Amino acid sequence: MRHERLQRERENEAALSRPARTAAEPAVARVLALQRSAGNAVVARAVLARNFTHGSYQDALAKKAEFIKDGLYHRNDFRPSTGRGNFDVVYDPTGGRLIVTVRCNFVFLKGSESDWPEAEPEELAWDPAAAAKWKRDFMKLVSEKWSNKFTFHCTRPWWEDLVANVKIRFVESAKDPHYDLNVTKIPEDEERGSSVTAPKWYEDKGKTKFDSEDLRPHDKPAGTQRPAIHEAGHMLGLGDEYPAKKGKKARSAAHDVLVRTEFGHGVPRRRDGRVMSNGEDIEPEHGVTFMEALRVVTKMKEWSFEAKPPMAVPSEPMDGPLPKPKQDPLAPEEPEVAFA
Amino acid sequence: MDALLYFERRAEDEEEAGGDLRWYVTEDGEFFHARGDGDFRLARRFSPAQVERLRDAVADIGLASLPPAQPPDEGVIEERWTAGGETYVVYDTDEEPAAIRDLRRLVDHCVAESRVSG
Repeated sequence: MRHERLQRERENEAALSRPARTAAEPAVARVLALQRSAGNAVVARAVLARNFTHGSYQDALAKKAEFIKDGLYHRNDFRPSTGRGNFDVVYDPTGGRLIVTVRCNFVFLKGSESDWPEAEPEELAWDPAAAAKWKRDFMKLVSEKWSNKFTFHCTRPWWEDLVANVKIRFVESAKDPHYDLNVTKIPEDEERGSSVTAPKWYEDKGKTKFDSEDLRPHDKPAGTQRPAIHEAGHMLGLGDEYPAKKGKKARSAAHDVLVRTEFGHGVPRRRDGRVMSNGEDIEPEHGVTFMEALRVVTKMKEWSFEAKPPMAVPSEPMDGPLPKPKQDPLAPEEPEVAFA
Repeated sequence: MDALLYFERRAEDEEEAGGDLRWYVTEDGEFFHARGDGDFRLARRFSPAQVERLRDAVADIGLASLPPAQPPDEGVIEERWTAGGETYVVYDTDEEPAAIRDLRRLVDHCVAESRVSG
């Protein structure tokens, strides 16, 4: 009896659902009916699959070709949201490169006699050859150190082959610099302390203070570091990662929010071998300002530090069978049983 | 301290403390210098004429009248100039006022000159 009652109910349901398959029935009702018969998961997969049709694949390829054909994507005087950093950025989709250029105006200053009363006069004066060498060595050191450390991958469906390998170029430009580099001569093997001041919003360039010894390794509380490499990190938009002085309010690093957004964790403030702390290790997290610049110049959010597997290419459109309804244990026919 | 002029540079962070130093010039022209937390040592003796020039320069500046400097967010390297009971604080990360720049040049000149004069 129970079986007959269930059979009748099913026939009634079938009668009710039949008009839902007509074209006049609202789409929502059809989806609901399909959910009831085939299950939520099947419908969700089917809806998702509608975005990855052969047509959308061809459309994506056409748009990518157009994106590449448009050539270079660039922005002058990019200021990261960290509140520091100032550089030009160019994305070359064909070459797969993101070129970051920092224009530097070098100013060589003689050392202060009151700072170094024991120094010989020649120890506090630049000779032109030494100044030219310092300039060359600085640009080479920091450009090489910061280049080829980050590769960003496009995650837009079927654009996954687009990459951006970050190249950093510190170049000389007295005419239109991003930073003035004031380089003070000090005696060999001594230290003075260096700093980078970001340009204020109304200024077109920042200021830095270096000394002639900033290209050689210095002992820090938790490592060894060439100060020029650390200061270059500030010029590229990063903040300090070593802890604030005791008694001073602890602040998060200037790039903390960008790192948190990208990696899901903040920037630890501690003394270790990281470049913005006491060492020279450049970690993926140090690429966040370049990632931000890439998204701005390409006007595209779908970039990631990790490569995404390419989306499968959909086949030509064709009419397929409707998803098979869920098995009903009370149905008259035998249920399908999978055997191990 | 009976000083005509006192100067101190101190980094807030240990990472930049390698350049910390202090010096002062006494009323009778002795120039004492110390690096880091080390002891002062007599580094120069300025001539009476140099002391006079320095005294005039300090009086002209009026440290208390200089525009206050704004400390940076981080990487603070503080420079303190003290004379006649007045102290002016400037930060190594920013431009120093022209009057301070001139005063520094004068002291540098006195140090360099006193080396030559013996």
